[in-house]
Amino acid sequence: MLKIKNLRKVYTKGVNTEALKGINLEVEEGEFVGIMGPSGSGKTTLLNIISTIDTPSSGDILIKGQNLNKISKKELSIFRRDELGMVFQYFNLLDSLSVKENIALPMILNKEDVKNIDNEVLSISKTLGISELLDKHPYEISGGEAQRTAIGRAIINKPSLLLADEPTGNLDSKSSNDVMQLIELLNKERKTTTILVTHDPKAASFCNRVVFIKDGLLFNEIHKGDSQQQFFNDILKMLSFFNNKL
Amino acid sequence: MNLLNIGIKNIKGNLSSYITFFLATSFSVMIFFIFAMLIYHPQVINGVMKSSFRQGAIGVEIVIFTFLAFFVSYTLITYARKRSRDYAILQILGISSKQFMFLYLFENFVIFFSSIITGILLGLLFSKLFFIIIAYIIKDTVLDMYFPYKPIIITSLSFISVFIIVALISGLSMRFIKIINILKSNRKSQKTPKYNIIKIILGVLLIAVGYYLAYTATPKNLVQIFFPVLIMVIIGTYFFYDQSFIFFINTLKRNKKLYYKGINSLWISDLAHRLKDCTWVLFFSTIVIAIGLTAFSSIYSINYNARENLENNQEYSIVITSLDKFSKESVIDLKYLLDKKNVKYEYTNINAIVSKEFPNSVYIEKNKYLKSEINDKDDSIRNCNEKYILINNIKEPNITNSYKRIYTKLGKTYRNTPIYIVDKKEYTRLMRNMNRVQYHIFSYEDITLGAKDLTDINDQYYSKYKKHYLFHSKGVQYYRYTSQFNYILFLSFFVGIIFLICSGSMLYFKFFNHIEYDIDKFQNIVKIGLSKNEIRNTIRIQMAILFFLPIGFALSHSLFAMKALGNTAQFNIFTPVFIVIIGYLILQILYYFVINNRYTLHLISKIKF
Repeated sequence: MLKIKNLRKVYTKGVNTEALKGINLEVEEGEFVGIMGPSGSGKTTLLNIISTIDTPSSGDILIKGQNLNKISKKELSIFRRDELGMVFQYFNLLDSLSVKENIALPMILNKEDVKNIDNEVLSISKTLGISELLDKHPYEISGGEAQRTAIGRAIINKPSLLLADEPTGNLDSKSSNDVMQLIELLNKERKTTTILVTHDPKAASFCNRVVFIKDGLLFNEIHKGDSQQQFFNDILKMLSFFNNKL
Repeated sequence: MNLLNIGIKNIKGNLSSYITFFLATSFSVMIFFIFAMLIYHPQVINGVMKSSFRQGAIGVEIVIFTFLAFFVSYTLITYARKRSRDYAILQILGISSKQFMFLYLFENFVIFFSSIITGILLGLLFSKLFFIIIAYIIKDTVLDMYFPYKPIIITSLSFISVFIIVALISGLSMRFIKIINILKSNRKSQKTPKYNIIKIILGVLLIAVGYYLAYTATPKNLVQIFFPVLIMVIIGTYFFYDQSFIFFINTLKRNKKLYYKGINSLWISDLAHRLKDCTWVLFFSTIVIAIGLTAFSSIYSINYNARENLENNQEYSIVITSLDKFSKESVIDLKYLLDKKNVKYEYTNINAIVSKEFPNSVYIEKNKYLKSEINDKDDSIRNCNEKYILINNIKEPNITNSYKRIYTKLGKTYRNTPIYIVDKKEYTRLMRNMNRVQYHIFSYEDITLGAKDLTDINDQYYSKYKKHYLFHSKGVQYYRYTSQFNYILFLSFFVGIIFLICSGSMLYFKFFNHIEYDIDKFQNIVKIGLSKNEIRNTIRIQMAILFFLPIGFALSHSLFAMKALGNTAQFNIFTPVFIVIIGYLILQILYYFVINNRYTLHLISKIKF
């Protein structure tokens, strides 16, 4: 599904800093992968490159066999629309549009039939538990609700890859839990391959696998067994191991 | 639901931030349109007023358009940038280039087009007022209203073409902005601006040398030094904003006693960032204001000195020369007018002869001249034995006889027709082939009295008697001079106001673009105890510095420029320049208060206390 080969990213502004020093990673169809690591480890850079909003200095990324380096500007917008769904820490909703319109936006850009759009938005909003809020505007709803709206927008076009950058970073623990359960549900029911970047071990424990990055290199990875609680403890151990090494 | 709906919703949703863009564009369109209405007015085209009047208006229209086009482009780009986050999100969602351009052009065009319509409507509304002011200034009748279809077309087309060019370029460039930079910019912290000591010294040197050259300018070298000085001062000004000011702020920061006192640290620390952000706007306004002020002051100075020159020169107030039968009528008219205006005048006349028509030579008999009241109280003419005495400074008088030149007051009044004083014998000889004319001479103190009516009488008789009639009047000269200069003065004042409003608005946009950053910053400091008043004062000080820095700098530039002009033209400049500057400052202060209030209100309403 996703193949990353020897990915490097060098920032040349001011002092040369190598954010990614050669990352190799494969993600299978339907997998739910978490990326963790201390601040400045390069995890967000990695996600930005996968999501095509940043470009690598060298190395290849293949999504469903499509090499992102060899994609034209025109193909890129279609690719983003059809294959990628993105969720951000700060939601990034359009304030001038209602919740409903925000969710529908990717379908509108795809020039879908109005009836189709309405049906799809209605069914998704039910799954997300925001069907009551459809006519409200982003500034009238809570953070958790805004993030669920953003998730709705990210998955309405049934993308093959859902990318989430600290989706719980701006939420309280109750909302964080709701949002993570939702992402997990979508991953299971729709088989949407999902990559999550997070600081939060609780959020990471929803994944099947967590990859740790340090100083721009893959450091380690752990897999979930049967219990989420056990996985959570493993993640905590791993993180404390990091801290001790410092 | 389609892209069009999204566009409409976006406009509605962002109405509050688009309102300034809308107002700025409407204002620009209105100004341009009113001038176009003047230029294409049937009465103006058909020459009720002089052609120089229309040319003046066209010149101003071109200057205004250049400036407004820049201003409107700047506003458009600023407001598009304000929405770059929205555009970045759309790109992440996979909007295609075509869709993006459609949305971008649609949104901006709707705003732009409604401002064009509003501007034209406002223009129609205010044009009558404008015509009344113009009529008052040039002391002529008020122009009628008319349906200005040509100005409407020209205004719309000019601004739409500006829009198309700027919107296309900015829209396309928006496509290439890196999304990642926009999304990151929320959290970006600013680096402290740095300065380069060599550039500072260079800047100060350039300005100093420029000022020195201007101060010591002579009529001979003015043309040679003009462009070098201009370029030196322009570059020096840029370095000042870009470098010296940051140096100055850093010096302030080092003075801990001052820096830690009250809110000083708050506004000083932020000022360098603001300044760095506004460098181009400040630089641009300084140059524009300096040019405007200099042009305005020099016109004003010439006008200011005109009346004085007119009053002090050695001429009669009114002199009429005409065939006897023609002149009687006008003399009656004149006396009647002067009596009506309560002018205390002295009147005298003298006979003369002229060959056929003016401006051929005029001859006066010596004895009659000596006996008349126009005889200057010295004996140079009495003692002169030359047959022909030329009393004015015509360069090449067309006579074969030898002559002597002695200037008299009458000669100084009439400069275009050679006037000779000849003895009785010669006079009688010449008389046979010539027409008898009469000089009517009026003298009085205040030449401004009845100037307009005098001008009317003058025009009336000229068109009636053509080359058989000569009329000289200081009042008419004064009237023509002032109405023309008032007109130019008004035009340049008008342009000055536009410069002022536009450069102030650009600064305001800069502030407004950073309002989110300001809200965040003050919100954080409010948490550790900052009062509403302290926020107000911080903004007040910062805005005042940014607002009055260009004007102060421009003042100093134009003072030196005026000094250079004064050196060469040798007239009194300081009084008129002072008047202009005070007027300009008052306007700027008013504008500052309006904008400062608007911004502070907006800012404070967004902060929780």
